[in-house]
Amino acid sequence: MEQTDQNARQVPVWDAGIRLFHWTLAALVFFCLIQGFFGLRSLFGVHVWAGYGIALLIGFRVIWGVFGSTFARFSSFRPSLAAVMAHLRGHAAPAYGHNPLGALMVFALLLVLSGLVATGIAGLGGTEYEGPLAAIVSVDAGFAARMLHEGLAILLALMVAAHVGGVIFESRREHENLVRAMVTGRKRARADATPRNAARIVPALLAAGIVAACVAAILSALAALPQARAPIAAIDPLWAAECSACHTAHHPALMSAARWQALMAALDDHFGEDASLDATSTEKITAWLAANAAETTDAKAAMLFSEIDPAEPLRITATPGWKALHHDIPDAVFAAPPVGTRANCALCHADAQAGTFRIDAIAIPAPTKKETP
Amino acid sequence: MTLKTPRCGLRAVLAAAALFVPLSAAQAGPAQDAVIAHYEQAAKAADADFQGFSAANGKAFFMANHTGGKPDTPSCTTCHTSNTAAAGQTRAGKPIDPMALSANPARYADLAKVEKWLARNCNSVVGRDCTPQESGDVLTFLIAQ
Repeated sequence: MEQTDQNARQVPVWDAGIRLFHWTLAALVFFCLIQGFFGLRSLFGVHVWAGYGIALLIGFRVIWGVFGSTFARFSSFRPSLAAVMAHLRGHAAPAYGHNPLGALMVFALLLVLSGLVATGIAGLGGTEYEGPLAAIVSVDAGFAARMLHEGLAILLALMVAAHVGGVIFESRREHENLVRAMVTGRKRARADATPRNAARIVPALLAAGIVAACVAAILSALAALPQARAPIAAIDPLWAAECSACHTAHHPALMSAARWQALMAALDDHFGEDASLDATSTEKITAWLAANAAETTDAKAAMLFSEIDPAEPLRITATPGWKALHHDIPDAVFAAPPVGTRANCALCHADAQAGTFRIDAIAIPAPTKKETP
Repeated sequence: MTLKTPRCGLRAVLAAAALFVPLSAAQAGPAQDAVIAHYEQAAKAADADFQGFSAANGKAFFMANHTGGKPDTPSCTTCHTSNTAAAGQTRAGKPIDPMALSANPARYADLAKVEKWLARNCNSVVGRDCTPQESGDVLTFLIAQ
């Protein structure tokens, strides 16, 4: 690339707000894409906070698009087909601010990022019982939102690649390092230089205050809704004591009342063992399981394991849903200590007994060599 | 908890006595004695010629491979391991506290609990209820460990 003329006058183009916005957004998007595509479960919580950060940045960018300095304002880079065509034919003079294609990319990125924030919050609420939409998004809608979120993330990754490619291409064409311009905020002065008008800070702050107040009001209204969707958290001590003597106390939301009743009626042959209980305890535990069974809750596990294997209707690990979710885990992890068996849910799912099965509560241990007796 | 104070005192006496009597008696407290007494009574009722419990027979029963039970659990040692002082593991992955009373002084103090687990595990391992003689032998063996 040709070095810029040392004598060329540099003029301010990107204000501090735009530069800070751009690089913070780039960092958060980079992290979210890496965390998401590589499935780094332990960083899921950071992904969520990065997502909230991106939402804040979108809010800032919209306000700055109205009240920021000249080249930050949407009015300075209105999308125009004619301008794009001229730009593509190479007829247009290099732009000071966003070029016509770059302008399209700004709006497209803001739209796709808004979609990612919306589907992310919906998925988080629906399937993780967390965030502002936890009370109102069903688990079905949550999974649909997560599918959309993944699709939009792929689109975003492609757009990021196109954006970086476009910046490199334009830098060469204009003989100006556009990456550095986004760091210093300055570009080479040209004859047709448009002077930069300063940002209007007071109206921007006012607008930000109004938006923040509205968002806070919506959030507090959502938080006041009854959080009734998550599986029952109050644990029956009798159930916990009796069932967890041998295995993870499997949460009632994992099966329907009918399946629990069938299971509790056949404790003398319980997956190859006699687990008989006295009649009183059996009756109490059966009633509690049925009262909190899959059909009483909008729990993730209830929905995922509702389809059963007719050959083994009572074995949760035989359901197609369970198998699909665990298909990529090697048999060795289940067979060897410390897991030992597919029924040992709580070894990897720290919240198994609560029935929530959240993404960030998963930790899969490495299998250790089985001791030979 | 109410048992704790008298048992500690008793245990001190028994520990002193252990210098002179076979080790087998050293660990058992009144709660374990009561459990054994229950099976003794049942054994006498079942067999007029009852000769007392045998730790050796209990050990053989505990360590043996049985037939007639459920295929996944041929022996007590399937889950409890052959080392009674070590923790075992259920087939579903939960740890089981050691069976030897010396390694786990809380064992065999609650008759209802003992009966519950013997009923389950005898059916799983031998496919029937254990006789009072078998139950008493195994308990005598494990209490002496």
